Amino acid sequence: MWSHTSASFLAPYPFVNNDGQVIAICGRNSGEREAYMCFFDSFGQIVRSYPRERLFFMSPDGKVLLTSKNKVRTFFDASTGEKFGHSENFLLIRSFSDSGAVGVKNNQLYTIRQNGELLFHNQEIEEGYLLELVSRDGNSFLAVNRKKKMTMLYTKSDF
Amino acid sequence: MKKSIFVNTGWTSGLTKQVSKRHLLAATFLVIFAEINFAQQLPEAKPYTLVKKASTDHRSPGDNKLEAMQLVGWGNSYGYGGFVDDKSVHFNNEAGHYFLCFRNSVQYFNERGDLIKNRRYPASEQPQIVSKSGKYIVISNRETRETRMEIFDGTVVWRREIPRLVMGNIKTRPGKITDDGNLILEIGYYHRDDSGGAAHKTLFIDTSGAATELGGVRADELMRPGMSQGGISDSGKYYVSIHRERLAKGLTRKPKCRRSVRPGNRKGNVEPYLCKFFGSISVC
Repeated sequence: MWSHTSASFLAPYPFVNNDGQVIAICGRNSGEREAYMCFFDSFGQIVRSYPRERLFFMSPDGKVLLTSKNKVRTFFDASTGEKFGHSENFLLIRSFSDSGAVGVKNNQLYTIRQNGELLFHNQEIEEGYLLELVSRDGNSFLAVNRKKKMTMLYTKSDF
Repeated sequence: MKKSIFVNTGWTSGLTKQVSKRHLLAATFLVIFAEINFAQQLPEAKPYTLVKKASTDHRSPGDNKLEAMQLVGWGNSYGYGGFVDDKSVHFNNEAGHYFLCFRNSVQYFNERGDLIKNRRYPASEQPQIVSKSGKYIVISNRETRETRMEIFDGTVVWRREIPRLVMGNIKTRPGKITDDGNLILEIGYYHRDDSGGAAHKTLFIDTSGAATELGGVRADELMRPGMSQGGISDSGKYYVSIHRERLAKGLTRKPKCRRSVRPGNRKGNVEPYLCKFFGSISVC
């Protein structure tokens, strides 16, 4: 069973979660070019829209979205489209664990929790390395130096 | 006479302002202090330990070229590889295990960073897509242009050629394997027994290898080559298809504005797309 929508899509990669919720960058009306982040219902109707939000990440469970607008990171409920947390600290977000978005600022690792609170990991990422992946539980991460072809694995487990 | 230095403030329309050294030092101190303070005021998490610093400098079998990590997968969550979390029901992986995809291999590591499994391919074969669990791998052969999917668990336990298809150009997003092994692929292809003519289609390939065209989408309705379309949920149950139909007559002309309104589109094309379908693909 397909649903249809007449909304214009201004970006080619909509987010779809396992509950069938669709979030995309759209013009709200036919032919409109101003970009909104649109939340659709299962009938293809736009139920909520926000101007100029840039879709960034979907959480691993598909329930939460992280967006970026003027360097502000905002979390949205994927099903209702409601905002529920934001951070104005500009981090280079690289991954999304269950506890929030993980990013780097001044070579230091931070997590923005879904309520917008910032968590400091006191963990420096070595020069030349990029945070590449964070495990879903947030206990491990990989940093990669693509030039030197080196990978570093960090974990919180005790060995 | 009071000592002073000159600072070119640049962005202030090229004016050169005279700033006292004392002010400059104070400002620098404030910035450093603010940065330190920024971190110190935050709640601190349990620290990480560097487990392993491993070289990923491998060589392909029968090939002297160095392997490079390549981007596979779909979306940012697992980039060129992925952590296998303890919520994964497949592959008997443990928390902290992860895999990395290289040009001619997929390598699996444990939580200590030790290489525990290595699926190597000849130089002509490349892993194209790896499922989140690391269990399913789609491989294309550059020479024969054939594509196959396999299950790897230390040994190849299942291997299947994707039927009737020859891989043409793999698109920006090569496809997706759902958690239960179904494959959704957007490819340029032709039937082997056909006289010719390539098309772009989106296919749903189940674990038996049977391919279904998604929603009966006609090839001429699909997006132009090089552009991926739509999105797919992790379960593969929901699929969004965006068609290239233009919405208004005025948009058929090249827009005057060359700046992109579509994030990630470097060509500056601002034509909007009409989403024709979205919904469950389970009835396809």
